Amino acid sequence: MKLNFKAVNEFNSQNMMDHKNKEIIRATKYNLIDISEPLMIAFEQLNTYYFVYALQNRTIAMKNGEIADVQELLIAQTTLKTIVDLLEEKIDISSSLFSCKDEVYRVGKVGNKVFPAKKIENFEQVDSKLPIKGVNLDKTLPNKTNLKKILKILKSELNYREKFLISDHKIDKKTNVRFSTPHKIDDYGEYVLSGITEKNSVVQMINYEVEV
Amino acid sequence: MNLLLKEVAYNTFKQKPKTENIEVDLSVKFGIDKEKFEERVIFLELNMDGNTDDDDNNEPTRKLFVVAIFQYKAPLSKYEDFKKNHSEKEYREELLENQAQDDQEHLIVFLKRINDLVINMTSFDDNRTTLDIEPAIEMYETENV
Repeated sequence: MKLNFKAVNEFNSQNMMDHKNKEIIRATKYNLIDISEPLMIAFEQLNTYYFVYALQNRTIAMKNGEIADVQELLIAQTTLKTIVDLLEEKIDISSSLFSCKDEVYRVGKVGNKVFPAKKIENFEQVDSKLPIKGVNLDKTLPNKTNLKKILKILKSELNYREKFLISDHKIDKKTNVRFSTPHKIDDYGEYVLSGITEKNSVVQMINYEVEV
Repeated sequence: MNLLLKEVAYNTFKQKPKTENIEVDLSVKFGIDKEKFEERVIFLELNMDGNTDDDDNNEPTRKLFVVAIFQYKAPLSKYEDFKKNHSEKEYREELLENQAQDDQEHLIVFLKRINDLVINMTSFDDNRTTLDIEPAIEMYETENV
């Protein structure tokens, strides 16, 4: 099984948990635990939901005097129902992360060196970096996030989606188009997407994938 | 037909190169109401990433993100004559055979509406070209997936 979603690509080039970096994930995102910086987030990419939990996020001073950021994240596929259950305190934080046991990974990086995603087989492998079992996402945790607001949004989302049978990969379609556009609009204001004009030489590259 | 825009974000960066590379990532998923067979839904996620077209220094120029839901009713009425003259099983088979085409047509309508939105959002800046997703729509039309 391959870990296949955009977040990991984003993680390779950026700091996923950085407050200043707003372009972290190209998806709908909810901060679930945010103390001085986000510790746990949930995000959605077209009806697939994921948890991201920061196992480590610190800066270390190396022997040669340089400093490097160390970041290790747990990324787990989940369901909307599990997120709602977590917010309603029906399940604890650790159990929610392992709700889809086959899809739990960790990724890490030190400075610019990115380590490949590694599958986590069981809770014991990372238990020292996660809250102990029985710790719920409730008011006793220091948290800047308005959980009531998120719960309200996600619950109405869950009610809406439960009405439908949503397709799996069979009728899922994906297209990826890559093209270059001219920066300048010509004198007549005509927008030229492809072809070669007198003023702009345009190269069009199309590379797409369709999954049926 | 009902279009719900869940999330729309358009960010521009300092870079305004002469040529920029726009990556369009368009994903859709279909859904059918559990109780009413004719009630359909399409979930859409669109990511457009603009980058400087430079191998050495590839920096972002702009990013656009849209999440939308399109709800519609499948045109089952046009199969009513067929239903009268055929068995329930044959009617179901006919529907299964043709519903992909019906959904495809609605998908194109939906994508064109999203295209209008993208054009409206990105046309206010005189120093940048207006973005659209027409090449992606053409692919959906020609591929007949």
